[in-house]
Amino acid sequence: MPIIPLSSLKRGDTAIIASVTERDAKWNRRLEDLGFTPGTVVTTLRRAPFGGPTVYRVRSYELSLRKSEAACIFVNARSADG
Amino acid sequence: MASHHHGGSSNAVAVSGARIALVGAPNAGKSTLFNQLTGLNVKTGNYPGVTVGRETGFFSVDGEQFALEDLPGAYSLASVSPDEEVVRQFLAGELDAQGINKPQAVLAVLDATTLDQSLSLLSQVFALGMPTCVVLTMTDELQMRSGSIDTAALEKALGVPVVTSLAHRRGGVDDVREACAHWQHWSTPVVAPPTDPAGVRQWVGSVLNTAGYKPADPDSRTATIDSILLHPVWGLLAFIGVMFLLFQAIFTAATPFQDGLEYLFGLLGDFVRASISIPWLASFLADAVIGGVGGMLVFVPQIMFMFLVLAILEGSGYLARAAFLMDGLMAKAGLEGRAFVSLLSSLACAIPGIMSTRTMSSSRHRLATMLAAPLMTCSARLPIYVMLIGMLVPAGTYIGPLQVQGLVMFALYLGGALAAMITAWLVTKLIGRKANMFPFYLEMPPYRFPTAKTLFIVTWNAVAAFLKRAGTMILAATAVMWLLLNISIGQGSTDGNNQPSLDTSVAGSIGRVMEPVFEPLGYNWQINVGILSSLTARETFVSTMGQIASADNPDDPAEALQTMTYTSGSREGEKVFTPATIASLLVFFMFALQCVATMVVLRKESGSWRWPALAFGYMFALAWVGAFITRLIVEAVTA
Ligand SMILES: Nc1nc2c(ncn2[C@@H]2O[C@H](COP(=O)(O)OP(=O)(O)O)[C@@H](O)[C@H]2O)c(=O)[nH]1
Ligand SMILES: [Mg+2]
Repeated sequence: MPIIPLSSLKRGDTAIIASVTERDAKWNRRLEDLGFTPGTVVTTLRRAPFGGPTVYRVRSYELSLRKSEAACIFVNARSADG
Repeated sequence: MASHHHGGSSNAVAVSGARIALVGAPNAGKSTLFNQLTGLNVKTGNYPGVTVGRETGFFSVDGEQFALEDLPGAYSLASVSPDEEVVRQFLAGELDAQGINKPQAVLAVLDATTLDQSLSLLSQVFALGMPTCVVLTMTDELQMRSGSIDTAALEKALGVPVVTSLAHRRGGVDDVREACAHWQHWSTPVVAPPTDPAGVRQWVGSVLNTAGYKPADPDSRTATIDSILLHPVWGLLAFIGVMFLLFQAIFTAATPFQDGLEYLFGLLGDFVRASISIPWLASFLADAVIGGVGGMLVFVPQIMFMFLVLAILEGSGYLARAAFLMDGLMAKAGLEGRAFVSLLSSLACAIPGIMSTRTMSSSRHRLATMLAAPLMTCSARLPIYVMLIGMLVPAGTYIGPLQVQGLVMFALYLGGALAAMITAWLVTKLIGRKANMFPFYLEMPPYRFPTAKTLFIVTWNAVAAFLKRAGTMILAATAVMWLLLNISIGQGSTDGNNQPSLDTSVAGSIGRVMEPVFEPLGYNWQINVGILSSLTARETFVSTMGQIASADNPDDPAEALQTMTYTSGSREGEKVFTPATIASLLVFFMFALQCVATMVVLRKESGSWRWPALAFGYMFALAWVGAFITRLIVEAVTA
């Protein structure tokens, strides 16, 4: 299974988080606290206009992230029906 | 804006029971439960970031009194934003030096539909080692979305008491109250959960497993609504429609109520003038009290409607969507989506707008939004705009199908918003890119029906705050102004018919001292006094001008303003309120930071006087230059 950044996941696709890029301790901690930890299932729900953020379902809630943040989260791309 | 808000000052009221803190993720239902337990009316809403400060309330059970603390929502106790920092500091007892306010126990409020997420927060709460009780909310939504949980098993798995509550419908509130009576028996968990991320995940998994947790299905209603409201095309159209509705609510829906009130106060003023025979008392009551404060009260319907619409947007969950849709645009000004919501609520008043920036984790975004907020057209500017536009454009003037008065008003709102965005952009450029590592994240709560109580609280709090302002600040300002207008310095203080001459009044001399600054804008001393008085609250400008005018001509104050002439200087004898002067005044008020309360809040939120001082200077310069240019242009056009 190829590992791709979350930001390049297509709309409606579901994937499992493989890793999160180390950037800054506080920053990484927050993503972790929001639920973006390895092994968690994420679904891309919809994108905002004007190059805005994307809504993801992570764990049991919906959260939007900007592309720059989503690009630091890597997921195992698997088939959409998974 | 409840009266129980405090930012960290000590209010150590001794209680026989315990001081209990409500801790939980944003939108878990803490404030709703708080209101039900304490009988207070703090703001609730379906947007992460409704509560940004600490609120204290009290309740008693079995003869013992408990202090309950409502706190902002937190995704984690490792805080990244000022509102979360309030939670961390408060739980650690750092908010006051003696630690008197440190809570003795914690009510952990957990949303049952997002339990796998909120249990990690609970593991951090457990690590504090305080007696803890879990309140499970939203079990109704869990059921509706075909999820389930065995609370008895959850209680066993966690090792602390668990109660369920549906506080938005008053459900389970007594159970929570009852549970508090036994707070001393709330356990700290037998087996402390691990603190390392992998360990926490494992712990959460095993707890949910033991509790037979069946997670909720994704909310299909929310998905359907979002497929329209977050659609790249339909979503934007809906957004424009919503903004249009907001303006309609402010300007059209409120008008009949406003006209009615205006008529009533007119009658009341006439009645007072006719029935009180002591001239000074009649003048004080009719001009200062009824003319000044009554002149403000006619804006109550508009304020009510505006807050009502904002409360509906917030309570339904739409504000989070608006922030999401606008994030891309806001990013171009160096801001983030939540700044849009802050600026939107600044349309009501800059103060809640500034406070709401506490949810922002990036200090750069936060400062830029705070400094932009005062430029948004707040409801205090409305009376000024209405008065001046009424003098500038005759009612019923149309360009094609468009009403000109409405167009001018719209232009002023647009001008303020543009200035706010440009200011934010400038500020982010000036502070530079450093220390902006923080991810933008925004939770999209499921759509909910705002409860009638929520709408009532928001609207009533706003009206009450406005009435309080009208009854204190504005009344005091008008009373002082009345004195200053009626006390004269030097001789010749009366002009024969026992009417003090305004020119020689104390107010007159104060206004003349300001002349060098405002002369180029075409303002006479009367306007200068009005501008000075508007620092207490912008609306005071209207009441002051009303007072001056009705002192001039009690029978027709509006006529008195229209025909007022310069009494000195190069323009002596000319009319004051020419289109050029009025337009320049409109622009002045669009930009100037004429509000002491906003500056005080800016100082508190930014931690230094530097920013409010800078903001005042910057906005004054913007206002002065803008007003000067406007005057030149309008003079050239109308000459
Ligand atoms: N369905 C349901 N809604 C609730 C419940 N408790 C609170 N709410 C709603 O959830 C939203 C968030 O509530 P609020 O008290 O402001 O959350 P806070 O951020 O934790 O203070 C509001 O729209 C409430 O009406 C509950 O038990 N069930
Ligand atoms: Mg709250």
